[in-house]
Amino acid sequence: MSSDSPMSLSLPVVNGATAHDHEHANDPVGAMFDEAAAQGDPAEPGYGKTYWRSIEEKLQTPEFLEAAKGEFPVGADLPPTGVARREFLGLLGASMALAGVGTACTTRPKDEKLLAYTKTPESLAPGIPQHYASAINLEGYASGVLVRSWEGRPTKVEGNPEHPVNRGATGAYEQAYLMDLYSPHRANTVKQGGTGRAYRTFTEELTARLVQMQADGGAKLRFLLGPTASPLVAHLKQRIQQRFPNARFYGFQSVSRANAVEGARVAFGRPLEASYDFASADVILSLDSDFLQTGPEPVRYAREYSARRDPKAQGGMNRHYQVESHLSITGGMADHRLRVKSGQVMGVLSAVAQALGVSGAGRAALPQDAQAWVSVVAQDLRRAGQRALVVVGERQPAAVHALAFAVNQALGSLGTTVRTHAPVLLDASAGPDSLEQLAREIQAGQVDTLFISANDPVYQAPADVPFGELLTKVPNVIHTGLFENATSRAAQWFVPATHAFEAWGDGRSADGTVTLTQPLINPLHSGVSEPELLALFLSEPYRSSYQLLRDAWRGQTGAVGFETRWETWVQSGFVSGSQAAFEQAPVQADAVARAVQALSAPKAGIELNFVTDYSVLDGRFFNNPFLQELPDPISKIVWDNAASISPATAERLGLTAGDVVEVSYRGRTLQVPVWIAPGHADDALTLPLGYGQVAQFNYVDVDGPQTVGFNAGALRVSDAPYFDGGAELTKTGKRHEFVQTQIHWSLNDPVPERFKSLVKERPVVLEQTLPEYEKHPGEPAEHHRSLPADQNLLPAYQYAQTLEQGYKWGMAIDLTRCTGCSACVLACQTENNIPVVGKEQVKRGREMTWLRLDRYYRGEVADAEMVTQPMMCVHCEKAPCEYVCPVNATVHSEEGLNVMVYNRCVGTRYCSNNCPYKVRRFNYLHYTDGKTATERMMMNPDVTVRARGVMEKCSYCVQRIERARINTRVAAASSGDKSRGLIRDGMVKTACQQVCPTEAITFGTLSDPDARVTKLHADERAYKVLNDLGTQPRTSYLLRIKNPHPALAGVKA
Amino acid sequence: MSSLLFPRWTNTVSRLTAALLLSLPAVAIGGLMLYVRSPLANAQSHPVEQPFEFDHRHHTGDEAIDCRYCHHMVEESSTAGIPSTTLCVSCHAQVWNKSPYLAQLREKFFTDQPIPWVRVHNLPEYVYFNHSIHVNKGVGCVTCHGRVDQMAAIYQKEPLTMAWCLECHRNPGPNLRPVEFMTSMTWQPEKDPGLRAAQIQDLTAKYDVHARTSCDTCHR
Repeated sequence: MSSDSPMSLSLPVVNGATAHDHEHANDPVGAMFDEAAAQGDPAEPGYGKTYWRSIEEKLQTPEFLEAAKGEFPVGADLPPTGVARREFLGLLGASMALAGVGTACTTRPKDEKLLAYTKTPESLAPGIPQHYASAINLEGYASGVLVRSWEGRPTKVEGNPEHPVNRGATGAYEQAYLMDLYSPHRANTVKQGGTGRAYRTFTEELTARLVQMQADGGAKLRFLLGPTASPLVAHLKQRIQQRFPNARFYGFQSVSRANAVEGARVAFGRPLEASYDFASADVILSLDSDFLQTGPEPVRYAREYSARRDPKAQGGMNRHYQVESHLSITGGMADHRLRVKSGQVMGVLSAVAQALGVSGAGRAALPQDAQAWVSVVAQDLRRAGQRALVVVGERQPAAVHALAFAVNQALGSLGTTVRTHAPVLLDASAGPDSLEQLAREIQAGQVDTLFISANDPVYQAPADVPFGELLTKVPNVIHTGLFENATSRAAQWFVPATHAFEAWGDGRSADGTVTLTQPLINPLHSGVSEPELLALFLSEPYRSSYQLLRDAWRGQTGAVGFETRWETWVQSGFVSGSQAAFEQAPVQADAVARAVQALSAPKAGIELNFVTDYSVLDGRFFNNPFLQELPDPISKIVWDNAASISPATAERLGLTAGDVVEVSYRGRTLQVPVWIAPGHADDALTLPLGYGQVAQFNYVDVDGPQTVGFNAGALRVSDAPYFDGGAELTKTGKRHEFVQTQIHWSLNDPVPERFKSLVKERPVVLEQTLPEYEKHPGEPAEHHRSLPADQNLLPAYQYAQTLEQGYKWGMAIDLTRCTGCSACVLACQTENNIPVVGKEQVKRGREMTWLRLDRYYRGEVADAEMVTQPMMCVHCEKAPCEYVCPVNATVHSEEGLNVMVYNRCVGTRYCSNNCPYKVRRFNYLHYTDGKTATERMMMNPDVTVRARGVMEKCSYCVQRIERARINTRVAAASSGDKSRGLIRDGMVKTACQQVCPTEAITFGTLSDPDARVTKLHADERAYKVLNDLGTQPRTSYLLRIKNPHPALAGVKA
Repeated sequence: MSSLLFPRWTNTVSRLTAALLLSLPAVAIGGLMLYVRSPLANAQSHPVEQPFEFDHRHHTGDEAIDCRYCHHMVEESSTAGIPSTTLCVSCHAQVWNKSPYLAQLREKFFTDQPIPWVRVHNLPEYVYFNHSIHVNKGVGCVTCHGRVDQMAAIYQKEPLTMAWCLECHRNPGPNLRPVEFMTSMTWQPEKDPGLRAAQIQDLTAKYDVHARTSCDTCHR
């Protein structure tokens, strides 16, 4: 075939051996590949096979290649199995409706009722949502939020922009917490011994009992509270102690910061809590600390930390060293990461301390290869001096915390980046081991009445404290909670609790700011708030939580001017200026040295690590389907927990992912499924807590109570609640199937073997080191920014050039800032009415979340680094999805939005197939069907609830754009001031942007040259994903900058 | 020779039958297309029975109460608003406060029960209509709702189909009026074609009218 003869339309078969080593005389496809390969820059960083999403992908196993072949995972389009009762009833109803068609001559739908208020509540405007400042107390620390309410229904949680900790952002838990309010499985009945009782019966019985108890001052009265910093609870506690001087209060928290507070007590002689200033830290050494995601104030830390990840940040970019056993979100952001067992963290810190000349630093037990690493780190810390920061995770023993304070003092950073204040929590020393004392008292028969408001101590108690059995010895146990759990079943009395948005209350944020909890709705399920229950013990006339709160604060701050103060507090949601004062104390070196000396050396053998889970925390969110279905930020596993193990250890033990092993530890055994985690320390096993409970979930394939995951707590003991060596693993031969979203929606199709040498993998995430950036800013991004105009044959549409002409919506996502915290995923889900589908559906690739976080590993399997890339519809100007839609259901707006018209969609799925970004989601089943009345209340009325057979995807929160447009245009029309008619920068925020703690997502109009998004699009780091396809996406990504230490370039750690 | 079996007229019958059968699909399709465009399919001109015999003719016509007295959200919200019972009672505590005709209203008010009004103008759930932007840009009540002051029971005057919406969104000028006449039922545009064209131009410029036809204007 000569080169000018017409080419065949069918692809010629390319011979693998000859495809690239001869001149392509008769091989046009091969020639095209060669040309494509020649046009790219082979030296370009970010190119090549450096990124991988799973170990299977890295190794290109046959299973991976098979699974990655199709658009959807195997079984994605299978119909649901079993008798679908709902569907049957639906058909029955439909046929009856059809039968009735003949009788009516109009297609007018069934009459819809309009129910007006008898008296419209003050300030309520139907059709206009209202926002109220409130707070959510997570692990005892208040998170200041603004809650959006539609005619009395809270539908969305945002961060309170004025709150000193939140400043407009929240984490993932706050977003999902709204689901708890509307959960159909919330407890709704007061129960005695499992049978329903009137609340009045309960109060009368309790009051009678309390009268008898008063004789001995409540000697047998005990309280077990969860972590709380509430001044109101403190006030009630004090009042109860006045009435019952012999009563005792205990605190319990499955995973607490007690070790950190104890460490401060050792170092400073009194219990203090550390507060870190990441905004002014140049060099950060984080020892097993996941400060970006867990802990008291991850939102503030993430924001301040990421502000310094910007290469243009004032003071320069920070450098972050991480020492940890399992890859965490914080570890994924680090510039250098040393993986060691949790027990070896002390050894690493000792070595750093020794290098810095801290006395009493203890034995520097370092793993091999780490010496060079540690000396560089120590040198870098010393160079930073008082702008260095050493932070220790709450799982580490008190001695490590104490030594870290000594190191910070030696560096001069104590008082600058590390400051201390009095603990905010009422019982800061309450931890997993604090049940022991109460257990002893119960054993001795010293407890007659026990009030439990801690979440679920029966389930969360360490395995050596049989708390559930002990409860049977207490005649009168009262438990309160949102959901019935193991503790409720063991208690005589159970009282349903109120959700944070159902009752008044208060709390304190990690910095001490007093934050008020304002209700937005009456209790949905006759719940009673904790303050009201505690007030019962005073046997006073009933006061509502509102009265209790106001009375307590009036008593504390005086009646003069109280109303004005109160109005201000409620309006802003917090008491400004109520931060805890910083107290500085010198480190007592000999006390630290003694504590370090007393710490026993880590045990040999497999080390067990008990950690909180990114989804369910310590089990508190087990009932929350949003969080259950939220992929783990690292492993991407949903509806499950997994015992993580390093690839090397797995190989040594002959394990593959999904193998069930039996863990034996101190005479206890537990069977757990193993997950092979890149970047995990060798000879260690990470066991996330919180799973293995039974809960009620109702999804398409799931109906009724079910267990999810395994209970790692069954191996946990009081004297080693966080990690301990000496465990043994035995392979059982059983298998467990994990469901994970890791390899769904891949942007890279596997390349057939014969084309491998011709085709380069497309770069999806780009990275640059800071020295490279300083020399050639954003060099890898250059090829991915814009295309020559003639490269696309489709006619160009003339979008607005100036703000006055119109809008040109666009987004920028900074990969340097994104930690992968997943708050955006849940914010998108609640804002856009995206359903939860259940484990079985996710397995088939039917997850519906519009925004996914792609996690890419880089480098070797053992020491993998991680990049997270938020991926949702990028709103291509030349959108491939639009050309293939046969019914015009996805079209372009004149502002460049790729809009989805649900009522036109017939469900061909061609668009999804043609989308190179894999961001379209199809409603295989009617996921929003069968929702209970309360679940329906959660829906955002501004967004259509999609039905079966409809395609959907990110809309750039078009409902928010349209609302802002109408508001501004109405404001301009009614005021006559035309300049008010334009949406200015910052007036529209997408849900993901608004929630983002690190401000990684920016949205706005590219027609405004002063808009932040326009500036970011013009940044040298900006690039477009899969730009070579000519899709011209409106979302730009800013490549990730890492700031490695030059001396560590060759050091393997 | 004529056949005994098939007389001549059967030819006509068979031809007619064949023609009828052949045209049946076309007639059926055409009929359906006519039907969906007819007021019948769009629930137009169908007075809706309400739980109360509330008469707009009396309130709007005779008493000349402005629409916004009751539907007071219309200028700021997506919904015009259904008045609360308190609003009804605020007048009817003074006038007709003993009328047996309003016994039901008083009962609803004193028992704090909502009045179950039946919705007349019902758009599908995937359509997001906003009143405030329309009335602020000079589209009057009467344009979409008809002469409410002449309706004994409210009915849907216009088809409320997408084609009908687009007709105006493509050329909003003829439906504009000065906002001060927004609620007027009797306002008339200029009769003279030249003056009318100038009026439309004026109003479009004055209210900065840019009716959009992108799908996301109404569908989200």
